[in-house]
Amino acid sequence: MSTDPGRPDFRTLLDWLEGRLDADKAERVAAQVAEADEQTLRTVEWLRDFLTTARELPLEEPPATVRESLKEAFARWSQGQALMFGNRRDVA
Amino acid sequence: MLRVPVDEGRSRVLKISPGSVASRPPPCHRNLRRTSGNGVRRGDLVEISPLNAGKNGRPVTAVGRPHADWPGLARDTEVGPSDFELLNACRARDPEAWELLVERYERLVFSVALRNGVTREEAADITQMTFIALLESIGKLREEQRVASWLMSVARRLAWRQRRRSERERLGLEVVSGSDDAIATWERAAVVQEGLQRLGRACRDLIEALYFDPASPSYAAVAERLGRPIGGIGPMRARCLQRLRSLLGEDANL
Repeated sequence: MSTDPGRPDFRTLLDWLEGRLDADKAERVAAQVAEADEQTLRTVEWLRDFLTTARELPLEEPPATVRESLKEAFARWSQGQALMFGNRRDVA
Repeated sequence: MLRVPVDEGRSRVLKISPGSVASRPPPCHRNLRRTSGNGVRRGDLVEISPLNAGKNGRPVTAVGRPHADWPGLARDTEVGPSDFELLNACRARDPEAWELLVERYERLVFSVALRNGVTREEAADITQMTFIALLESIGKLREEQRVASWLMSVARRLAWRQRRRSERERLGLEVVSGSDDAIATWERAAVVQEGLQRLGRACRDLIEALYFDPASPSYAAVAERLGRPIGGIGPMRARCLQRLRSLLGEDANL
């Protein structure tokens, strides 16, 4: 919970933005945000940006064959490197 | 490889003394990644890989280190090697580093391709081509270059090329255009994804499940998947996001 009764804490702001607060609490937080200091407003802005970003790019799982193919591709690349540079593994 | 017991998901920080066996780094989240949450239990053994070692033998993990602001996050701070450390290990032909890099970003690359209007099959091909392009450029990438941004740029370019080649627009697919807004969105996404990789396994799993899973699972489903009490999900997700923000720079905008 917030230590400053006039300033909602990070979790409260997140709950508010996600619509997880009951109506009364949400109204109180909205009023606090309307009068909030710069630090609170920056937190709200960051959370909004994060939630927007997450909504716009959900992470889909590729087919398992992708990982297998890439594993094989790396093995081929690795062999090629070994042929070019010998067995030195400290090429980095 | 060393094997150490896991104590309720907490791993201890090993004292590093040059030349000693203990100079092996603490367990990397990589070793827990396929089993964390519901797989690793007290007394289980996890493998320690040299992959955890940073430059000069310095461990790159912060396993078990209590966080000053959020003491409860101690076991949430297991961080793995940085992207650049993984790239270096790949250059040295470490297949496990490659697998971890692929695991870290394959969903991002696949999703970026999908969002640029190609089919799932095409997106799978683009994912492969993107990582192969990374492999071919692996010697050229500098430390300051962001891997997620690089991968996303290549994936987007390949997806647009694929669309041009197919010479048809697919109706009904939501396509992010190349507008400034869309580019800002991709850049924000890259920043967030890179931040997530630095966040630590437990937090990353939770944030990904709550915010990036297309199925939008409920708290109950996420709690079950991660083996955590449902009552802890809400508070923990706030702590994790706060930590993510802190990692990305408290005053920085996304």
